[in-house]
Amino acid sequence: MSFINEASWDRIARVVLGAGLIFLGFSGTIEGGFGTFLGILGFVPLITGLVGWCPLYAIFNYRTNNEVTKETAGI
Amino acid sequence: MSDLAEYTRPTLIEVMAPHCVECRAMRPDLDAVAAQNADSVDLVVLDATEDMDRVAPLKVLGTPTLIAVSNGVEVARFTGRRSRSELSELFAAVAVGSADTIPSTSREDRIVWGAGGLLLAGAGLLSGPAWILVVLGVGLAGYASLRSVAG
Repeated sequence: MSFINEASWDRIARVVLGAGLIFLGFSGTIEGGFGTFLGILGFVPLITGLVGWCPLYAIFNYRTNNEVTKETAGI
Repeated sequence: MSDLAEYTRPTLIEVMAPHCVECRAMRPDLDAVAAQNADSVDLVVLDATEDMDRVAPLKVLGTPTLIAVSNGVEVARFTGRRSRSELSELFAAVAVGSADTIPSTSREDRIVWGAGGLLLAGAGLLSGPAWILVVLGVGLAGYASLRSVAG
């Protein structure tokens, strides 16, 4: 879709990172408030990876899925 | 709807936009596959910013959107970028009138959703288990699996 601003590798990395943070936060590996914070924080990369759209990228007009389009700028 | 009747041959309509990065990224693959299948499938490219009269009746929600038309009737619709191999499969299916057997979700989305679901379920199982995470993960992986089926 036209709103997607993440490359495939970016999406997969975010999903893995998010699941890892969720595991660290909710498994008790990291205890206390910081662990809970990490667990909740993990949903951010997980969801942005699943959707393929990063709001920070959008704000700064950045994208990681532009490597192909540099060669095909003209239509 | 009314415009589709003019397409008597198997046709793939691409609705794109000049500002759409995914459209530009898919352009070389789409043109190459279309050229290979030019004798069996027509490719019609509509610019959503210019061909508004023709695009509006199609009720397209995003770009790029590929609409498979057989005998003047829409049989399947695909939104989002597709790889060259996916496009080849799609053109082959459109040529024989079986585009409705192609999954409507891209392979990349299905892989990311499936992997994300399994990882989330795994994290949930190893965290107690935290059943809410397991259920969310299994649900997500199941959804990705369902989207592998046409429709």
